[in-house]
Amino acid sequence: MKGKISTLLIIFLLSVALIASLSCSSTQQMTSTKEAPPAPPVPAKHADVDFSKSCLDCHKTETPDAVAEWQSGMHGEVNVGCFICHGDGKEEYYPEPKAETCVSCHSGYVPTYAGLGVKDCFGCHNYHTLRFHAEDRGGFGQAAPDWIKTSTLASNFQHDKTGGE
Amino acid sequence: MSVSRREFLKLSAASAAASTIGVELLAAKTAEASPALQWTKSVCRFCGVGCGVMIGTTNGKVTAIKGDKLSPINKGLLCVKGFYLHKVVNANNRLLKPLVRKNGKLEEASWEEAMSLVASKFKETIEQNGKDSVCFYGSGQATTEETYVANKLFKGHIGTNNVEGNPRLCMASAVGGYLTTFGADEPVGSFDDIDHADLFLLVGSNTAEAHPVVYDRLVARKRKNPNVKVIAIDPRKTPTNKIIDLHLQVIPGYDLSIMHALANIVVKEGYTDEQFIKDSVSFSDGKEAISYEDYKKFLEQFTPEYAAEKCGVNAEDIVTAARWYGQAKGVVSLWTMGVNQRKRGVWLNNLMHNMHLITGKIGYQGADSLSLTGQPNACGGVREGGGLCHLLPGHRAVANEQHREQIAKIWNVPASNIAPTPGKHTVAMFEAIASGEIKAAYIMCTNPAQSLPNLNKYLQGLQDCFLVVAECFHPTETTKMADVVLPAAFWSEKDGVYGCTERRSQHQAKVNEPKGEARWDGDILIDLATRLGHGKNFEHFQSPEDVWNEYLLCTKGKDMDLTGAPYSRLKEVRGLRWPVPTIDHPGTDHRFTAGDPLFPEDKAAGRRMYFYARPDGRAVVFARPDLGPHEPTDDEYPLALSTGRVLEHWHTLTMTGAVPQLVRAVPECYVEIHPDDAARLGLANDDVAKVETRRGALDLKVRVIDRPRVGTIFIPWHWPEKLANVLTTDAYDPGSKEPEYKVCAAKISKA
Repeated sequence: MKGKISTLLIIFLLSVALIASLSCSSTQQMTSTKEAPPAPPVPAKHADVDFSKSCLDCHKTETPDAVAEWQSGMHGEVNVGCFICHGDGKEEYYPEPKAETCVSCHSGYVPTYAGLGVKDCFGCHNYHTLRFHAEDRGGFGQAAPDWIKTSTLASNFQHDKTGGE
Repeated sequence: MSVSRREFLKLSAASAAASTIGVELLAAKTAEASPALQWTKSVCRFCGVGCGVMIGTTNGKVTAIKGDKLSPINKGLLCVKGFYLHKVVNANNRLLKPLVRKNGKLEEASWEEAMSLVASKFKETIEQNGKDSVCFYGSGQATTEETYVANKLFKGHIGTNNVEGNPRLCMASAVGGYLTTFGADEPVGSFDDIDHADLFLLVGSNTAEAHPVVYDRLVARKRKNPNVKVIAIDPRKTPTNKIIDLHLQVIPGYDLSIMHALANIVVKEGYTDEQFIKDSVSFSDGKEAISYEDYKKFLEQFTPEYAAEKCGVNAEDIVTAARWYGQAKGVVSLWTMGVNQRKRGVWLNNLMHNMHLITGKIGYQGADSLSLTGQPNACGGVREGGGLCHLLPGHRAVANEQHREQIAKIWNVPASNIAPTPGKHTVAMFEAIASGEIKAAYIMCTNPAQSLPNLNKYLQGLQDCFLVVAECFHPTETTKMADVVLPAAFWSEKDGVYGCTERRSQHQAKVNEPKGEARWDGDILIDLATRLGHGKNFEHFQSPEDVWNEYLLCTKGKDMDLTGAPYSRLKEVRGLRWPVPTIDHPGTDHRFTAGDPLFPEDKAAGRRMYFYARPDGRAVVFARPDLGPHEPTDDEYPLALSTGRVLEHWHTLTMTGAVPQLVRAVPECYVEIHPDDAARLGLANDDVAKVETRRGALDLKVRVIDRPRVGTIFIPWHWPEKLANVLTTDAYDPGSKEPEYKVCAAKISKA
């Protein structure tokens, strides 16, 4: 019985330490992005396809993982489609989304990347899920109700400060 | 970070007031050699939410857009349409030169040739067939100044009240509802109420797709307070369902019964605000005043079971909805076309207000009956500016002698110039064009050859009459039929004022010169006025600001007083919500209560709300029957058809259709059908099906999806290649004259 309690205590203390280490410093969260898995190589030019179809028509079978990731995130929840970040594929095509694109719709978030220790939005946010990299790996935060993912204005994160809720 | 903020500020243009850091930091980092980007505050061109935008220009060319983070409406957020607005400015469907039809073909012409033809044709038509043989059809997308000039020319100088605009097709029932209930048009509260409400009632609104930024504010509110609930009354599941806690998925066209049933339960279970009713509410059956007791008796027939049966939903859900409504501290009702585009649109609008009045949930933070609007300036230009056949500027009526005199004085014309009877409302106007009674039409900034209901009835008439279209884009379904097409300056190419959903007037900034030979619509109309011999009363309009200053005289002392909102102030602030009677007044968040500068403390005598636009200061609760749709389904046409919108497109695609990215998102039209109906009818995804109504037929790709209710189908109406409006009915609300786009009977079969 005594052994059991001390085991529980150790687990508890470790949990506290873990939570503290995750939440004590936003800079630390951001630097964890270095461990993010490298994105698969993307061709520089979009394949010459039937451009009368929508992106998703093909990509839900061609790149199902990317589509599933996108769908699980804030953009997917509100149908902010592939085209916003990647272009239409024909007139313009950005295999690697440009970070300045983000700020067009999210100019309320004025980032000072220097303070956050990253070089752009994707230093913290996964391209497709838009969650924090650490969160996507299951090591950060608590699962939020689905509908929260549908809002930008719901975020309390102060991008113009040096992070933190 | 390779560029410090100090260095960056040196790099950037001297647009310090407009500059925010995000984009520039990145831009400066990636393109240090590129010319400096200037940012100017403006307002979005798309829906009626009125999001603030910053337009980026490089050497006088529009190159970028971002949300205005100082806007109290969108706080920097843009939707996918607004995100591409800068691309519309430079779109390849912009019309650059006047076009005149010669030998059946539209050919480029000089302004002089085009305008002298327009003037001589209008002069000749008026001389031969009278003033009412010409008409003007405008737009909730025109600036207030443009609508004002058109009104002044047609109603005040030509002398015809045949002046209409497309808000008749989308907002007229909301106007009718506000006018009959509160005595004055437009909402009591504002978007701010969303941030404080405990319950949202969405009726006939796919907020997530049609008003994405409002949707985002709903989510933000729900996140802040997880007890916040959302009820929807809508025939269709939509992306908005992600935040909906209780969905009454109704058979289209019968929801008046549900609104009455909600009131019935609220009354029965004691959720009414008796003091508020005693102080500020009266009752009517639509013909005469009735008592509160009469109203209660009237409600008794509307049991939850009765409404549930009519609408095909669960009676318990109606009871739950009523209890949530009754228990919430603040309720905000939001609705759009599902309520307005109905044969009984005004009545249904009244029923939305009824609930707020009997529960007293109105006129304070977190409580409002808020009609969402579809166009950026339907409220400002057309409702307030008086751009409909029965209205004059500043919430005035043509039928009111005093109103005619007041406006005639400002217009410097004899009051007898303004006809005392309303002109032809939109459907009647296009019927008169079809019958040849109206022989010359001037259409500005809208596309009726795609957007009118029951199109097949009207297209030939548009071909036959002398049709002038002032438009930024070509071809549209309407310019294709025109005799003269006049290239108009677009959004960023002209100053103006837009008035959005929440009574907020915002300055739209000119940041670049009009493309090609385009001119701003006000200038084209002033040219026409001069050629028709009325130049004297228009020559002082040297700029949109001059027009605005004259318009402000029309608002002075009215319920929508904008005297405190001259350009000098509007250019600085993020819009102002009227009444704003003086230059130092901050604008009004709730009308008819303390804080409203027009609130008469003496008459109110301690009452929380006094509806000063009504003779007795009381808002009206209406007890009228729950009439159904004009064209119910039957054996021959067993499905109910609704038309509507998708997130990525807007109206008739003149703007979003020019943006390849948005086209790629939803490239073509389709018909949504429930899987059960599809199985029964042998239809599968991507089949081509023929959709038929009594008015027309359309072959469409099938999308089998659990969105429409069983027994209903849905078609987004944006594509000119597939004119959904050949199917819709032009039966209209007898009060608002707004057609019932949202319900008609259809059948579908494999093509």
